[in-house]
Amino acid sequence: MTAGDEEALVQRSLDGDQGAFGELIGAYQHVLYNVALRMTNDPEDARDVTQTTFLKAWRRLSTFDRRHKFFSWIYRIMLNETLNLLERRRPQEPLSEVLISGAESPEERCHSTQVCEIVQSALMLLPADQRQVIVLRHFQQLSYREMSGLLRIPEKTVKSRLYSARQCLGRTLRARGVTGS
Amino acid sequence: MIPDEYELLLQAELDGENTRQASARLHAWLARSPEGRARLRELEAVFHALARVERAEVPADLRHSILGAIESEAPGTALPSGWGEAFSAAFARHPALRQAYPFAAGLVLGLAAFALLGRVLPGPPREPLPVAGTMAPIRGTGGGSVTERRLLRAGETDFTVETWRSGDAIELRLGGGPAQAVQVTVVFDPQRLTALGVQWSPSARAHLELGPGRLALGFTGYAPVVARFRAAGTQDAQLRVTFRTAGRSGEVALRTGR
Repeated sequence: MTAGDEEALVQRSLDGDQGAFGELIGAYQHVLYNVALRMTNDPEDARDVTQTTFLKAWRRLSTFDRRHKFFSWIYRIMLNETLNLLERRRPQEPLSEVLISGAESPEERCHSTQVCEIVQSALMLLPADQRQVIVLRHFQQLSYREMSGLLRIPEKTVKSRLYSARQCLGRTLRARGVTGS
Repeated sequence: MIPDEYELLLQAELDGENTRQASARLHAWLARSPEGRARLRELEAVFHALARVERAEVPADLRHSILGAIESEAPGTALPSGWGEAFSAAFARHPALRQAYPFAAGLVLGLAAFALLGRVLPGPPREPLPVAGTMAPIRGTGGGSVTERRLLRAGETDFTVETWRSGDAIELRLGGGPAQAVQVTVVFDPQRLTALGVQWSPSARAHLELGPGRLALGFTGYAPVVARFRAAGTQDAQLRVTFRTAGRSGEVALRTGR
């Protein structure tokens, strides 16, 4: 979506055109949902965060500073929602399944799915501020400068958080047998 | 021990953020540092592992759900209050349900009829349902058989969850359970299964949300809870059940047919 398209959709939304806002939802829901999912590791929470984000954006649209990108603005709303949720949430532990009938054995599970789950669980061990930079860098391909702008922290802090997060991830993944091959 | 300067250069190299000069300096150092090369391989392994995490699909109804919620905030769209709030919230989240209002009204009337018979919340049932972790047989649904059963343990508390089927009638039965709050979400294929209603123990306080292909239950107290469905065919249709209780969560997928 070009900046012009985005601006036009924002203007129509401000005029009360829900269809235009629906187009903005369609354009950005994938990114917002995926970041929320990687941050929370819970599809229901990711759904709720995404929905709340768009609702808040709709309610506060008149306060949006048109000199900035709509996407950056809504992205910040989503990140704040996610962090608020993580603060509210108690540490999650998986329920242990003690009797399974008809379930797949570990051997039957797809290896790539296992790796994906291991990586996601390793991500959840990181502090939220470190997980955030990993998600933005690796799943959204944001540059240091973009992350700095979005998170309103110096680039130096972005780098140090990435460094600490990768150190921790590396240790966890090696301990769980993920070699990256 | 790798100097901090080179740690940051290694990272920036893999992130594609190094200038040409910084990159040249890093490679010159790597050429003479076995420790540096080992560190680079470690970092690459982390990058590769992260690259294997797949992008998730957005729930198909999310956009409609958001627009429905926006629409429900508009003046003149207030929905009924009372115990129907759970359904109202579901309608707000899923405009398709509102479009299918005759169906929704029929469902509400149907549930009200059940309530009059003392079989559905919120009114107290005439006969308390057994608890203590075993599933109660539902009156009038004799026959059939359990399709799949799982036992889940959260701390000291066990849950049983099972699917039961008789012809096109399917039940998802949750048994046992703690006194603390439990959130259960059931996701199913609405093309294959139609949610008919939910029944739970009189000792439980509960709320319910219905959406296309999604049923969310929250209750405090002891199960059993029974969600009833009708199958569109004889094929297996999976029910994905997510539990959250006492800071723990888990998901199981259960078959509804052979």
